[in-house]
Amino acid sequence: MSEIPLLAVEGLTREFPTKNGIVSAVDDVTFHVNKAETVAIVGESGCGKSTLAMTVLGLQTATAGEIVVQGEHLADISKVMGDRIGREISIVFQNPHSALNPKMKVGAIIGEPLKTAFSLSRKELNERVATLLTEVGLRPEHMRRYPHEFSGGQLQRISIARALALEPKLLILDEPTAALDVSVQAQILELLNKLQRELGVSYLFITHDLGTVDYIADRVIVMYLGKLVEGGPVKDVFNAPAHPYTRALLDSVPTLDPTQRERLKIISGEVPSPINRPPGCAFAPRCSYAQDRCRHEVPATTLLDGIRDVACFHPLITKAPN
Amino acid sequence: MTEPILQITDLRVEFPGLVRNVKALRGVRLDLHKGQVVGLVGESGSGKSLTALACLGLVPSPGKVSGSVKLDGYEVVGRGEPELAHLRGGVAAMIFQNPMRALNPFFTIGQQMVEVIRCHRPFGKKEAVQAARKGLQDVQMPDPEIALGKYPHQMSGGQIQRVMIALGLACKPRLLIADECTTALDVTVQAQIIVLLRELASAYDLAVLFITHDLSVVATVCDRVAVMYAGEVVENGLVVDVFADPLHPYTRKLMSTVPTLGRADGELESIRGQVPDLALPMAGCTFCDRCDFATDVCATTPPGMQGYRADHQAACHHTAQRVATE
Repeated sequence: MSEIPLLAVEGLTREFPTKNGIVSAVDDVTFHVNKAETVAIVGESGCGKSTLAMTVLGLQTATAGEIVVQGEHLADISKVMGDRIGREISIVFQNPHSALNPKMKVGAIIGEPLKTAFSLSRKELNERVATLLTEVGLRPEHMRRYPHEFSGGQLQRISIARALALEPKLLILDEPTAALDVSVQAQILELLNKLQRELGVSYLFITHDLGTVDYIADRVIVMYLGKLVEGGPVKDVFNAPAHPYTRALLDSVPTLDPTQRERLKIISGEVPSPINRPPGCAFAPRCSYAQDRCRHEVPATTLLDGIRDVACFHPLITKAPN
Repeated sequence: MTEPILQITDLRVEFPGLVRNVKALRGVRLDLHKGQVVGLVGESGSGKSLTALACLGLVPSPGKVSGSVKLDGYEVVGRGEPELAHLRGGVAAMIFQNPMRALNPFFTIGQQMVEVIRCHRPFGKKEAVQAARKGLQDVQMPDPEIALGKYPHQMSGGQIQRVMIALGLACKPRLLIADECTTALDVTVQAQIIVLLRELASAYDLAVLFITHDLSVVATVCDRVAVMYAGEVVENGLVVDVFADPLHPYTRKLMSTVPTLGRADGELESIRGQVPDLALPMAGCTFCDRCDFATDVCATTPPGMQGYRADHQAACHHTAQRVATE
C-alpha cells in the first residue's frame, strides 16, 4: 500500500501492574485503519478491545509500541499537538445515558467541543449545531432540550453529533449499539453508513456482535486475551476463518433460522484470567487442534495469503479459497 | 391436549400515572405446556418482563393486575403473599438477567443453595448439601465441590448463571422463567448456556418461558415463540413457522432489522417511528402508526388474535388477505 494509513498501530502493548503481577491488557497488537474505512475489533469481555481503543485515543498511555496518526507519532507530540490530534480522533461510547451530561442542554453538549476549539459567535455556533443535528437525523429545535427528554436511540444520535462536531478523520465507536433495541440498532447502523459515505470518516468499531461486524465493517480484527489472533477483510475471515478461535466464535453465534439450530457448536471452558495467562498460545487450553508446541510456545503473527494476519501454529486454512 | 402448566388469559397490568394510567399489559394471552420451551420476544418496554413477574405474583406496587394467570391450575392473580410462597420456587422458578445481582455477596454458593432447598423440601443439612452438589453437577459446573465453597465474586458470569439455573431447578419446579438469562454473557458462554437449557428442558420435561430481545437466540432455543408489542402478544406460533413466514408486519420488520452473519449484502431495514406511549388511549392496532400496510380500519378497530395456519396466530387486519393471495 503506497498511501499512508490514517492510523497505524505498531506493536502496541498496555500493561497494568496489579497485586498479583503484571496484566497485559493489550499485548503487541499491530494494525492500521485507512481513510474512509471501517475496521472492527471483536472479542469477548476482557480481551482488551476497549483498552486498545482508549490507548489509541490517548486516554491510556501505551507501555510499549507506537501509534501513528497520519504519519505523525502520537508519543512524541507535545500537549498542544495532542489537542490537534484530539480533533482528528473522536469517540462514541456504549451507553449514551451516562455519556451525556444530564444538566446540559443538547445544544451546549454538541457545542462544547466547537467552543473549545474555535472562537465562534453565538449565531455561528447555533448554525453549526443545527447542521450537526440535521446530519444525524434530529431536528434543530432539539438543541433546546435536555438529554432526559430523548430515547436511547436519539441520545446515541446526539453522541454521534458531538463526536463529529470537530470533523474528525477517525471515529472510535465503542459498542455504540449494545445498549439499544434491534430496531433502533438498525437505524444507528444505517446512520453510521450514511455519515461515512457523506463525510469520508473512518471508523474503529468495537463490538462483540459478529452480525453487526458483517454488516458494517470492511476489515475485522479478532482479539483473545489481549492478543490479535486473526485480522483481515471481513468476507475472508468470516467465510473461511484461519484461527480456531475465530471459527469457535462464529460457531457460537445463534442463527435466525430455526432449522439450522444444530449448527450451533460450543467450545468448553471460559476465557482464562489475564493474570494466570497460559504459557504458549492463550487459546490452547480450549482449542481442539492444540498440540504440545501450542502449550509452550507463543505463536507469532504471520501473514497468510497476503491479506490476512493469523497467530496460530496450525491455521485452519493455509491459502485463500477462490 | 392436557392442562397447560401456565395459562395466561387477558392479563392486564396498569400503573397509576400523574395524568393518566399507564397500561403496561393490555390483555396478554399465552399457554405453556410441559416440556415446551416458549420464547417471549419484544423490544424494551413491550411488557415481556412484566408478564414474567405477573406469573409469579411479583408485579411491583402500585401496579394493578387483572385477568387470569393459572400456574399448574392454581390462580395467581389476586392471591396474597403466603399463598404464593409455595408456588415460587416449588412450581415455578425464575432466573434473572444479571446473575451478579441475584446472589448475596456475603454468603457462599453452598449456603445460598442449601437455604433455598431447605425452604422447600423437608431435608436435613447433609441431604440439602448433597442435593446442592447434585444440582451443580446437573448444570455441568466444573468441580461442584469447590464451587459450593466459593463466594459469588470468585466466579465468572457464566458460572454464576449456571448456579442460578441450579438454584432455580433445585426444588424440581415444572416451569422455569428465564428473563434475558444470556444477555449479559459473552457469545461463547451464551452458546454453552443455550445448549444446557435445551438439555435440561428435555431431561426434566420442564416448561421454559424464555424471555429475550434476541431473535436468533429464540430461533436456536425455543419450540414456540410469542412476539410482544406495546403490552400485547401480536403473534404466536411454532418457531419454525413464525421464522419461515412471519404473519404480523411487526414481526416481519423486527426480523429484517437483525444484522446476521452472512447477510451483509442485504439492506438492513429499520422500523420508522417509535413505540407508542402506553399512557395514551389506543383505539385501533397499536402498530398502525409504524406499519406499511396500515389502512383506515387499523386506526379505529383493534385487531384480535386470529388463527391462520394450524397453530399460528397473529393480530392484524390484513394478514387474512395476504395469506389468501399467496
